[in-house]
Amino acid sequence: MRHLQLIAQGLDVSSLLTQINVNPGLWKKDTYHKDYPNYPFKHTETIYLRFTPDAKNFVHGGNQDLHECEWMDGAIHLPAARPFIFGLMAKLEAERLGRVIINKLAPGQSMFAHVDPEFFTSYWTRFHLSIQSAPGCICRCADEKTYMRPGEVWRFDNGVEHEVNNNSAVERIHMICDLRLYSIKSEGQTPTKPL
Amino acid sequence: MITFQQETFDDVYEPLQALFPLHWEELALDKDIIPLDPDYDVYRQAEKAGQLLVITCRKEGEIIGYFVGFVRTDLHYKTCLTCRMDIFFIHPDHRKSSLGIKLFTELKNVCQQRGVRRIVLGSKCHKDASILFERLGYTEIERFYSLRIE
Repeated sequence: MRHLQLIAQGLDVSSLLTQINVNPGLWKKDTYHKDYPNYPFKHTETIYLRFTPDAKNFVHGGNQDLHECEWMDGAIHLPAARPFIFGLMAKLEAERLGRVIINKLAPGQSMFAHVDPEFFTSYWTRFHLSIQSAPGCICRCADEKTYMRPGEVWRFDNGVEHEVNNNSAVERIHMICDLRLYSIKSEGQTPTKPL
Repeated sequence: MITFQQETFDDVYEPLQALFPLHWEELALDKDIIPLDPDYDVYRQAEKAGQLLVITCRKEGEIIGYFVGFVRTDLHYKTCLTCRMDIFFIHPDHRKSSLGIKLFTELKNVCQQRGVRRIVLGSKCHKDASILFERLGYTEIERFYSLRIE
């Protein structure tokens, strides 16, 4: 598979799931994704651990770094997420950490087919940690489909059309991390001789 | 919501235990002398070898239909990756809604992605699924016969 890649499996997500379940108020703190234009996420609830501050109001072409993210309330209440985030970064030698969110999709609901903006997908590589799921919950990326078992980490190509159908009997809960992986523009760049 | 997906043997083993007796009751021959007793070790070995293909139809988490087949090179034509059906079943409560067509359409898509060049299906004479297969473009190629030895 080109768009979906299993990175790790068998991880113990019970502590993280417990912290999520004892902090139900975190799901209601912000509806940025639920209210997103064209509503691909209208059935989704989201906990924000790390995200672009004031995301609704950022403007392309300005001076600010639109990729820069900051820690948010979710990170305070879900410390069990940190080993997964930084463990993944170390495993993949990631150079920068972007968005970290946790999505919940109820049984029988879908995240409708959409393609994420090229501005983000060309810079970041997206990874999913499955925290809670069951057979019948299927992610599709282009023409590839998979069920992500709890404890599995997958690379997920959000630059192609993708969707999720939760046809299982449980809520699907995934943590999504955007990482900037090793990147080099070209050989020959030095401090005094930019390309 | 109804979805079709490829699944592993471990994921379907438990839920299919509830459907196999129904399937056997409806389709098996010689039920009076040959009890249902699947050789699950063979299925597990086939899955380890990457040769088992299981596609399910699920509704709200429950399996309501399935296809099980084996993908390997043909014994007589080893350049031809072939999918041979083992069993398929749609629960009687869900048979009037084109699920059979969608199940075999998903099968074809999965097989295409795997590089399968031929799919071989079977149809019981007393519960003939030929109309479904022919509607999907399959051609009758062979007949099988059975003899009970007392």
